[in-house]
Amino acid sequence: MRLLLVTWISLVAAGCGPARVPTYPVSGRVVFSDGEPVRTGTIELESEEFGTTATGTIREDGSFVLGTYTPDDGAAPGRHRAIVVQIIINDGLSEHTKDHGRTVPPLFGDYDTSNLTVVVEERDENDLTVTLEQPENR
Amino acid sequence: MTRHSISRPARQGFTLIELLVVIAIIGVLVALLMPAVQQARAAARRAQCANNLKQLALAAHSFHDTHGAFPPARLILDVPRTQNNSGTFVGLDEPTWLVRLLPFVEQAALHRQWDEYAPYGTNPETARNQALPVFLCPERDSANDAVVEDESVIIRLPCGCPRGFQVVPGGAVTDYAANHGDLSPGAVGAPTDFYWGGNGTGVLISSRPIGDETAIERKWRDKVRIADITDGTSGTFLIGESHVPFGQLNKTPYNGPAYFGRHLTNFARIAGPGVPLAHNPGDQRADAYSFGSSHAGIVQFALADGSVRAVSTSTSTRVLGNLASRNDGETVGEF
Repeated sequence: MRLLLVTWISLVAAGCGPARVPTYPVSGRVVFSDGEPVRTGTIELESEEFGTTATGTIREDGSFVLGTYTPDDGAAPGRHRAIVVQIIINDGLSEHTKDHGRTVPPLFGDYDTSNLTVVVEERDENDLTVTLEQPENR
Repeated sequence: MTRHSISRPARQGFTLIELLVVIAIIGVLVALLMPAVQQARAAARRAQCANNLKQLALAAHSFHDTHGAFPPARLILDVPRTQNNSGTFVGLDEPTWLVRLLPFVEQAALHRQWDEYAPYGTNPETARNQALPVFLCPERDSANDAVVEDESVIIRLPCGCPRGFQVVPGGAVTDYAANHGDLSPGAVGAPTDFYWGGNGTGVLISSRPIGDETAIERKWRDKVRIADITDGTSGTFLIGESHVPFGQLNKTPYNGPAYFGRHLTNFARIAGPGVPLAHNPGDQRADAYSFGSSHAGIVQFALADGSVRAVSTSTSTRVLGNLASRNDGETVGEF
Protein backbone atom coordinates (compact mmCIF):
# COMPACT_ATOMS: atom_id res chain seq x y z
CA MET A 1 0.00 0.00 0.00
CA ARG A 2 2.87 2.37 0.78
CA LEU A 3 4.44 1.46 -2.57
CA LEU A 4 1.17 2.21 -4.30
CA LEU A 5 0.94 5.55 -2.52
CA VAL A 6 4.50 6.52 -3.39
CA THR A 7 3.99 5.51 -7.04
CA TRP A 8 0.77 7.45 -7.26
CA ILE A 9 2.20 10.61 -5.70
CA SER A 10 5.33 10.48 -7.87
CA LEU A 11 3.22 10.01 -11.01
CA VAL A 12 1.05 12.98 -10.08
CA ALA A 13 4.10 15.07 -9.17
CA ALA A 14 5.83 14.17 -12.46
CA GLY A 15 2.77 15.04 -14.50
CA CYS A 16 2.23 18.48 -13.00
CA GLY A 17 5.77 19.82 -12.83
CA PRO A 18 6.99 22.68 -15.03
CA ALA A 19 9.35 21.97 -17.92
CA ARG A 20 12.79 21.26 -16.54
CA VAL A 21 16.28 21.74 -17.90
CA PRO A 22 18.30 18.48 -17.87
CA THR A 23 20.86 18.40 -15.07
CA TYR A 24 24.17 16.56 -14.72
CA PRO A 25 25.79 15.61 -11.41
CA VAL A 26 28.36 18.11 -10.14
CA SER A 27 30.62 17.88 -7.11
CA GLY A 28 33.94 19.46 -6.26
CA ARG A 29 35.92 21.61 -3.85
CA VAL A 30 36.30 25.31 -3.12
CA VAL A 31 39.83 26.41 -2.20
CA PHE A 32 41.70 29.65 -1.63
CA SER A 33 44.49 30.49 -4.07
CA ASP A 34 47.09 28.84 -1.78
CA GLY A 35 45.15 25.56 -1.80
CA GLU A 36 43.61 25.89 1.67
CA PRO A 37 39.97 24.69 1.56
CA VAL A 38 37.08 27.05 2.29
CA ARG A 39 35.50 25.49 5.35
CA THR A 40 32.00 26.94 5.46
CA GLY A 41 29.51 28.71 3.25
CA THR A 42 27.49 28.16 0.09
CA ILE A 43 28.53 27.87 -3.55
CA GLU A 44 26.05 28.73 -6.23
CA LEU A 45 26.18 28.41 -10.03
CA GLU A 46 23.98 30.37 -12.41
CA SER A 47 23.61 28.92 -15.92
CA GLU A 48 24.36 31.53 -18.60
CA GLU A 49 22.08 29.73 -21.05
CA PHE A 50 19.10 28.66 -18.91
CA GLY A 51 19.21 31.05 -15.93
CA THR A 52 18.78 28.16 -13.48
CA THR A 53 20.68 28.19 -10.21
CA ALA A 54 22.39 25.18 -8.63
CA THR A 55 23.44 25.43 -4.99
CA GLY A 56 25.66 23.41 -2.70
CA THR A 57 26.74 23.67 0.93
CA ILE A 58 30.51 23.78 1.46
CA ARG A 59 31.64 21.21 4.01
CA GLU A 60 34.63 21.31 6.39
CA ASP A 61 37.04 19.95 3.75
CA GLY A 62 35.86 22.40 1.08
CA SER A 63 33.82 19.78 -0.79
CA PHE A 64 30.31 20.35 -2.14
CA VAL A 65 27.54 18.62 -4.14
CA LEU A 66 25.27 20.78 -6.30
CA GLY A 67 21.49 20.54 -6.68
CA THR A 68 19.02 22.39 -8.90
CA TYR A 69 15.56 20.78 -8.62
CA THR A 70 16.46 18.35 -5.86
CA PRO A 71 19.25 18.75 -3.28
CA ASP A 72 21.80 16.71 -5.29
CA ASP A 73 20.70 16.45 -8.93
CA GLY A 74 23.57 18.57 -10.24
CA ALA A 75 23.47 21.55 -12.60
CA ALA A 76 22.37 22.45 -16.14
CA PRO A 77 24.98 21.86 -18.86
CA GLY A 78 27.17 24.64 -20.21
CA ARG A 79 28.90 27.70 -18.84
CA HIS A 80 27.99 29.03 -15.42
CA ARG A 81 28.93 32.01 -13.36
CA ALA A 82 29.63 31.15 -9.73
CA ILE A 83 29.51 32.85 -6.35
CA VAL A 84 30.74 31.75 -2.92
CA VAL A 85 28.86 33.21 0.04
CA GLN A 86 29.56 33.04 3.76
CA ILE A 87 27.16 34.33 6.38
CA ILE A 88 29.04 34.37 9.67
CA ILE A 89 27.26 36.28 12.40
CA ASN A 90 28.03 35.94 16.08
CA ASP A 91 24.60 36.45 17.63
CA GLY A 92 25.57 35.01 21.00
CA LEU A 93 24.43 31.44 20.34
CA SER A 94 27.19 29.23 21.71
CA GLU A 95 26.76 26.58 19.00
CA HIS A 96 27.26 29.28 16.37
CA THR A 97 30.63 30.46 17.61
CA LYS A 98 32.64 27.67 16.06
CA ASP A 99 35.82 27.92 14.00
CA HIS A 100 34.86 28.91 10.47
CA GLY A 101 38.39 28.99 9.08
CA ARG A 102 39.50 31.75 6.73
CA THR A 103 36.91 34.25 5.61
CA VAL A 104 35.82 34.47 1.98
CA PRO A 105 36.06 38.09 0.74
CA PRO A 106 32.61 39.62 0.10
CA LEU A 107 33.38 40.23 -3.60
CA PHE A 108 32.95 36.49 -4.26
CA GLY A 109 29.34 36.71 -3.04
CA ASP A 110 28.10 38.84 -5.94
CA TYR A 111 27.68 37.63 -9.55
CA ASP A 112 28.90 41.01 -10.82
CA THR A 113 32.22 40.91 -8.96
CA SER A 114 33.02 37.24 -8.29
CA ASN A 115 34.61 36.68 -11.73
CA LEU A 116 34.32 32.89 -11.32
CA THR A 117 33.17 30.80 -14.27
CA VAL A 118 32.85 27.02 -14.54
CA VAL A 119 31.66 24.66 -17.27
CA VAL A 120 29.35 21.71 -16.59
CA GLU A 121 29.74 18.90 -19.13
CA GLU A 122 26.91 16.59 -20.22
CA ARG A 123 28.22 13.52 -18.43
CA ASP A 124 27.53 11.49 -15.31
CA GLU A 125 30.28 13.06 -13.25
CA ASN A 126 31.65 16.60 -13.03
CA ASP A 127 34.46 17.27 -10.59
CA LEU A 128 35.15 20.99 -10.21
CA THR A 129 37.82 22.79 -8.27
CA VAL A 130 36.82 26.40 -7.70
CA THR A 131 39.78 28.57 -6.71
CA LEU A 132 39.19 31.94 -5.11
CA GLU A 133 41.88 34.21 -6.57
CA GLN A 134 42.27 37.56 -4.86
CA PRO A 135 41.99 40.47 -7.32
CA GLU A 136 45.64 41.50 -6.84
CA ASN A 137 46.69 37.99 -7.85
CA ARG A 138 44.70 38.01 -11.05
CA MET B 1 -40.50 -33.41 6.29
CA THR B 2 -37.12 -35.01 5.95
CA ARG B 3 -37.20 -34.80 2.15
CA HIS B 4 -38.15 -31.13 2.35
CA SER B 5 -35.20 -30.31 4.56
CA ILE B 6 -32.81 -32.11 2.18
CA SER B 7 -34.02 -30.09 -0.80
CA ARG B 8 -33.30 -26.77 1.01
CA PRO B 9 -30.07 -24.98 0.11
CA ALA B 10 -27.22 -26.53 2.03
CA ARG B 11 -26.00 -23.23 3.55
CA GLN B 12 -27.24 -19.79 4.67
CA GLY B 13 -24.02 -17.66 5.15
CA PHE B 14 -20.88 -16.81 3.13
CA THR B 15 -17.90 -19.09 2.77
CA LEU B 16 -14.52 -17.96 4.04
CA ILE B 17 -13.29 -17.54 0.45
CA GLU B 18 -16.17 -15.23 -0.44
CA LEU B 19 -15.51 -13.10 2.62
CA LEU B 20 -11.81 -12.87 1.85
CA VAL B 21 -12.53 -11.81 -1.74
CA VAL B 22 -14.90 -9.09 -0.56
CA ILE B 23 -12.39 -7.84 2.02
CA ALA B 24 -9.64 -7.83 -0.61
CA ILE B 25 -11.79 -5.80 -3.03
CA ILE B 26 -12.63 -3.31 -0.27
CA GLY B 27 -8.94 -3.16 0.62
CA VAL B 28 -7.96 -2.33 -2.95
CA LEU B 29 -10.63 0.37 -3.16
CA VAL B 30 -9.46 1.95 0.11
CA ALA B 31 -5.86 1.78 -1.07
CA LEU B 32 -6.85 3.65 -4.22
CA LEU B 33 -8.78 6.22 -2.23
CA MET B 34 -6.28 6.87 0.59
CA PRO B 35 -3.77 8.94 -1.40
CA ALA B 36 -6.60 11.09 -2.74
CA VAL B 37 -7.92 11.66 0.78
CA GLN B 38 -4.43 12.45 2.06
CA GLN B 39 -3.87 14.90 -0.78
CA ALA B 40 -7.19 16.59 -0.11
CA ARG B 41 -6.22 16.95 3.55
CA ALA B 42 -2.80 18.34 2.61
CA ALA B 43 -4.43 20.79 0.20
CA ALA B 44 -6.79 21.94 2.93
CA ARG B 45 -3.90 22.51 5.35
CA ARG B 46 -2.00 24.37 2.65
CA ALA B 47 -5.02 26.58 2.01
CA GLN B 48 -5.27 27.31 5.74
CA CYS B 49 -1.56 28.11 5.75
CA ALA B 50 -2.03 30.54 2.84
CA ASN B 51 -5.03 32.07 4.59
CA ASN B 52 -2.89 32.84 7.67
CA LEU B 53 -0.34 34.53 5.39
CA LYS B 54 -3.12 36.64 3.93
CA GLN B 55 -4.28 37.63 7.42
CA LEU B 56 -0.74 38.64 8.40
CA ALA B 57 -0.32 40.66 5.20
CA LEU B 58 -3.61 42.47 5.88
CA ALA B 59 -2.47 43.06 9.47
CA ALA B 60 0.81 44.54 8.20
CA HIS B 61 -1.15 46.88 5.93
CA SER B 62 -3.44 47.88 8.81
CA PHE B 63 -0.31 48.60 10.84
CA HIS B 64 0.94 50.73 7.94
CA ASP B 65 -2.36 52.65 7.88
CA THR B 66 -2.14 53.33 11.61
CA HIS B 67 1.57 54.02 12.04
CA GLY B 68 2.57 55.26 8.58
CA ALA B 69 5.09 52.47 7.95
CA PHE B 70 5.43 48.69 8.02
CA PRO B 71 6.51 47.29 11.42
CA PRO B 72 10.23 46.69 12.00
CA ALA B 73 11.17 43.01 12.20
CA ARG B 74 12.99 43.95 15.41
CA LEU B 75 15.10 46.74 16.88
CA ILE B 76 18.90 46.65 16.74
CA LEU B 77 21.65 49.24 16.46
CA ASP B 78 23.86 49.85 13.43
CA VAL B 79 26.62 47.65 11.98
CA PRO B 80 29.50 47.20 14.43
CA ARG B 81 32.57 48.98 13.08
CA THR B 82 34.87 46.82 15.14
CA GLN B 83 34.56 43.09 15.70
CA ASN B 84 34.63 42.80 19.48
CA ASN B 85 32.26 45.40 20.90
CA SER B 86 29.43 43.48 22.47
CA GLY B 87 27.69 46.76 23.27
CA THR B 88 26.34 46.89 19.72
CA PHE B 89 23.87 44.14 20.52
CA VAL B 90 21.80 46.71 22.38
CA GLY B 91 18.29 46.85 21.08
CA LEU B 92 17.79 43.28 19.93
CA ASP B 93 16.05 41.95 23.04
CA GLU B 94 12.86 43.87 22.31
CA PRO B 95 9.73 42.11 20.98
CA THR B 96 9.50 41.42 17.24
CA TRP B 97 7.12 42.39 14.42
CA LEU B 98 4.70 39.65 15.46
CA VAL B 99 4.00 41.47 18.74
CA ARG B 100 3.44 44.74 16.88
CA LEU B 101 0.89 43.02 14.62
CA LEU B 102 -1.16 41.61 17.54
CA PRO B 103 -3.75 44.42 17.63
CA PHE B 104 -4.39 43.86 13.93
CA VAL B 105 -5.07 40.11 14.22
CA GLU B 106 -7.78 40.70 16.86
CA GLN B 107 -5.41 40.14 19.79
CA ALA B 108 -5.60 43.62 21.32
CA ALA B 109 -6.00 42.15 24.82
CA LEU B 110 -2.82 40.12 24.42
CA HIS B 111 -1.04 43.14 22.98
CA ARG B 112 -1.84 45.20 26.08
CA GLN B 113 0.24 42.76 28.16
CA TRP B 114 3.34 43.61 26.10
CA ASP B 115 5.75 46.51 26.32
CA GLU B 116 7.28 46.73 22.84
CA TYR B 117 10.29 48.69 24.08
CA ALA B 118 11.07 46.61 27.17
CA PRO B 119 13.42 43.61 26.98
CA TYR B 120 11.64 40.39 26.05
CA GLY B 121 12.54 38.67 29.32
CA THR B 122 10.82 41.34 31.42
CA ASN B 123 7.52 40.96 29.60
CA PRO B 124 4.93 38.69 31.28
CA GLU B 125 5.42 34.97 30.81
CA THR B 126 1.77 34.43 29.88
CA ALA B 127 2.20 36.81 26.95
CA ARG B 128 5.49 35.24 25.87
CA ASN B 129 4.04 31.72 25.87
CA GLN B 130 0.83 32.58 24.01
CA ALA B 131 1.00 30.67 20.70
CA LEU B 132 -1.51 31.87 18.13
CA PRO B 133 -2.95 29.72 15.31
CA VAL B 134 -2.60 32.64 12.88
CA PHE B 135 1.20 32.54 13.37
CA LEU B 136 1.34 28.80 12.66
CA CYS B 137 1.10 26.69 9.52
CA PRO B 138 -1.21 23.70 10.21
CA GLU B 139 1.02 21.56 7.98
CA ARG B 140 3.62 21.67 10.75
CA ASP B 141 2.38 22.97 14.06
CA SER B 142 -0.65 23.27 16.25
CA ALA B 143 -0.91 25.98 18.87
CA ASN B 144 -0.85 23.38 21.66
CA ASP B 145 2.80 22.43 21.16
CA ALA B 146 4.29 25.56 19.58
CA VAL B 147 5.93 26.84 22.77
CA VAL B 148 9.60 26.59 23.78
CA GLU B 149 10.37 26.15 27.48
CA ASP B 150 12.77 28.43 29.33
CA GLU B 151 16.26 27.02 29.14
CA SER B 152 19.37 27.29 31.31
CA VAL B 153 22.56 27.49 29.29
CA ILE B 154 26.16 27.67 30.43
CA ILE B 155 27.81 30.91 29.33
CA ARG B 156 31.30 30.32 28.01
CA LEU B 157 34.04 32.87 27.48
CA PRO B 158 35.87 32.81 24.13
CA CYS B 159 38.50 30.58 25.76
CA GLY B 160 35.77 28.00 26.39
CA CYS B 161 35.84 28.53 30.17
CA PRO B 162 32.41 28.41 31.84
CA ARG B 163 31.26 31.70 33.37
CA GLY B 164 27.98 30.65 34.98
CA PHE B 165 24.41 30.02 33.97
CA GLN B 166 22.04 32.17 32.01
CA VAL B 167 18.32 31.54 31.61
CA VAL B 168 17.27 31.91 27.99
CA PRO B 169 13.59 32.76 28.08
CA GLY B 170 11.35 30.52 25.99
CA GLY B 171 8.14 31.46 24.27
CA ALA B 172 5.75 30.81 21.41
CA VAL B 173 7.11 30.08 17.92
CA THR B 174 5.95 30.94 14.41
CA ASP B 175 6.14 29.24 11.01
CA TYR B 176 6.09 32.57 9.17
CA ALA B 177 9.05 34.85 8.58
CA ALA B 178 9.34 38.51 7.73
CA ASN B 179 11.01 39.17 4.36
CA HIS B 180 14.27 40.70 5.50
CA GLY B 181 15.65 41.11 1.97
CA ASP B 182 18.68 39.60 0.24
CA LEU B 183 22.44 39.59 0.95
CA SER B 184 23.16 42.94 -0.72
CA PRO B 185 26.04 44.60 1.12
CA GLY B 186 25.01 47.52 3.30
CA ALA B 187 26.86 49.98 5.48
CA VAL B 188 30.29 48.28 5.61
CA GLY B 189 30.14 46.23 2.39
CA ALA B 190 29.91 42.77 3.95
CA PRO B 191 27.26 40.13 3.15
CA THR B 192 26.40 40.09 6.85
CA ASP B 193 25.38 43.76 6.91
CA PHE B 194 21.70 42.85 6.52
CA TYR B 195 21.68 41.62 10.13
CA TRP B 196 22.06 45.10 11.57
CA GLY B 197 19.66 47.99 11.97
CA GLY B 198 18.65 49.78 8.78
CA ASN B 199 20.59 47.51 6.38
CA GLY B 200 17.92 44.98 5.38
CA THR B 201 16.72 45.29 1.79
CA GLY B 202 13.36 43.63 2.46
CA VAL B 203 10.13 45.13 3.78
CA LEU B 204 10.01 44.06 7.44
CA ILE B 205 13.63 44.75 8.38
CA SER B 206 15.76 45.17 11.48
CA SER B 207 15.45 48.84 12.36
CA ARG B 208 17.49 51.07 14.62
CA PRO B 209 15.89 52.18 17.87
CA ILE B 210 16.23 55.85 18.69
CA GLY B 211 18.44 55.98 21.76
CA ASP B 212 21.79 54.56 22.81
CA GLU B 213 23.31 51.71 24.84
CA THR B 214 21.83 53.01 28.06
CA ALA B 215 18.25 53.70 27.09
CA ILE B 216 16.00 53.38 24.10
CA GLU B 217 13.43 56.06 23.46
CA ARG B 218 10.05 54.71 22.48
CA LYS B 219 10.66 55.25 18.79
CA TRP B 220 12.42 53.63 15.86
CA ARG B 221 13.96 54.84 12.62
CA ASP B 222 14.50 53.07 9.24
CA LYS B 223 10.80 53.02 8.51
CA VAL B 224 9.76 51.20 5.33
CA ARG B 225 6.66 52.70 3.76
CA ILE B 226 4.72 51.50 0.72
CA ALA B 227 6.29 54.40 -1.19
CA ASP B 228 9.74 52.92 -0.41
CA ILE B 229 8.87 49.70 -2.26
CA THR B 230 9.96 51.16 -5.58
CA ASP B 231 10.10 47.76 -7.30
CA GLY B 232 6.32 47.56 -6.95
CA THR B 233 4.32 45.94 -4.18
CA SER B 234 3.15 43.13 -6.49
CA GLY B 235 6.76 42.06 -7.10
CA THR B 236 8.12 42.20 -3.55
CA PHE B 237 7.81 39.61 -0.80
CA LEU B 238 6.29 40.71 2.52
CA ILE B 239 6.06 37.51 4.57
CA GLY B 240 6.94 33.90 3.73
CA GLU B 241 7.15 30.44 5.23
CA SER B 242 10.25 29.54 7.26
CA HIS B 243 12.48 26.59 6.43
CA VAL B 244 12.56 24.27 9.46
CA PRO B 245 14.51 21.00 8.99
CA PHE B 246 13.27 17.71 10.41
CA GLY B 247 13.84 17.58 14.17
CA GLN B 248 14.35 21.34 14.52
CA LEU B 249 10.79 22.35 15.43
CA ASN B 250 10.70 24.52 18.56
CA LYS B 251 14.48 25.02 18.47
CA THR B 252 16.59 28.12 17.93
CA PRO B 253 17.81 29.13 15.35
CA TYR B 254 15.20 27.55 13.06
CA ASN B 255 12.02 27.70 15.10
CA GLY B 256 12.72 29.34 18.46
CA PRO B 257 10.80 31.99 20.42
CA ALA B 258 9.33 34.23 17.73
CA TYR B 259 8.45 37.26 19.86
CA PHE B 260 12.08 37.48 21.03
CA GLY B 261 14.17 39.83 18.89
CA ARG B 262 17.58 38.35 19.69
CA HIS B 263 17.81 35.56 17.10
CA LEU B 264 16.77 36.93 13.71
CA THR B 265 16.12 33.59 12.02
CA ASN B 266 13.33 32.67 14.44
CA PHE B 267 11.09 35.31 12.84
CA ALA B 268 12.72 36.65 9.64
CA ARG B 269 14.44 35.12 6.62
CA ILE B 270 16.31 36.23 3.51
CA ALA B 271 16.34 35.06 -0.13
CA GLY B 272 18.55 35.74 -3.13
CA PRO B 273 21.93 34.74 -4.59
CA GLY B 274 23.59 32.40 -2.09
CA VAL B 275 20.33 31.77 -0.23
CA PRO B 276 17.93 29.60 -2.28
CA LEU B 277 14.53 28.35 -1.15
CA ALA B 278 14.73 25.00 0.67
CA HIS B 279 13.37 22.17 -1.50
CA ASN B 280 11.99 20.35 1.54
CA PRO B 281 12.62 20.06 5.29
CA GLY B 282 15.48 17.60 4.59
CA ASP B 283 17.37 19.93 2.23
CA GLN B 284 20.98 20.14 3.45
CA ARG B 285 21.78 23.12 1.19
CA ALA B 286 19.40 25.42 3.01
CA ASP B 287 20.17 26.94 6.38
CA ALA B 288 18.49 28.93 9.10
CA TYR B 289 18.31 32.01 6.86
CA SER B 290 16.27 30.27 4.12
CA PHE B 291 12.58 30.36 3.38
CA GLY B 292 11.07 26.90 2.92
CA SER B 293 7.98 24.82 3.63
CA SER B 294 6.58 21.35 4.23
CA HIS B 295 4.44 21.55 1.08
CA ALA B 296 5.64 19.65 -1.99
CA GLY B 297 7.66 21.79 -4.39
CA ILE B 298 6.46 25.24 -3.35
CA VAL B 299 6.87 27.90 -0.68
CA GLN B 300 3.99 30.30 -0.06
CA PHE B 301 4.61 34.03 0.20
CA ALA B 302 2.43 37.03 0.92
CA LEU B 303 3.51 39.85 -1.39
CA ALA B 304 3.57 43.47 -0.32
CA ASP B 305 0.33 44.12 -2.23
CA GLY B 306 -1.44 41.62 0.06
CA SER B 307 -1.74 38.77 -2.45
CA VAL B 308 -0.53 35.26 -1.57
CA ARG B 309 1.52 33.32 -4.12
CA ALA B 310 3.03 29.84 -4.23
CA VAL B 311 6.62 30.14 -5.45
CA SER B 312 8.44 27.11 -6.91
CA THR B 313 11.36 25.92 -4.79
CA SER B 314 13.57 25.80 -7.91
CA THR B 315 13.07 29.50 -8.69
CA SER B 316 16.44 30.99 -9.65
CA THR B 317 18.10 32.90 -6.87
CA ARG B 318 18.47 36.00 -9.03
CA VAL B 319 14.67 36.18 -9.34
CA LEU B 320 14.35 35.48 -5.61
CA GLY B 321 16.74 38.34 -4.87
CA ASN B 322 14.65 40.68 -7.01
CA LEU B 323 11.49 39.57 -5.21
CA ALA B 324 13.06 39.91 -1.76
CA SER B 325 14.56 43.35 -2.38
CA ARG B 326 12.20 46.32 -2.21
CA ASN B 327 14.33 48.81 -4.15
CA ASP B 328 17.02 47.12 -6.27
CA GLY B 329 15.58 48.59 -9.46
CA GLU B 330 14.82 45.12 -10.83
CA THR B 331 11.18 44.38 -11.50
CA VAL B 332 10.06 40.79 -11.89
CA GLY B 333 7.90 39.45 -14.69
CA GLU B 334 6.52 35.92 -14.43
CA PHE B 335 7.66 33.87 -11.46
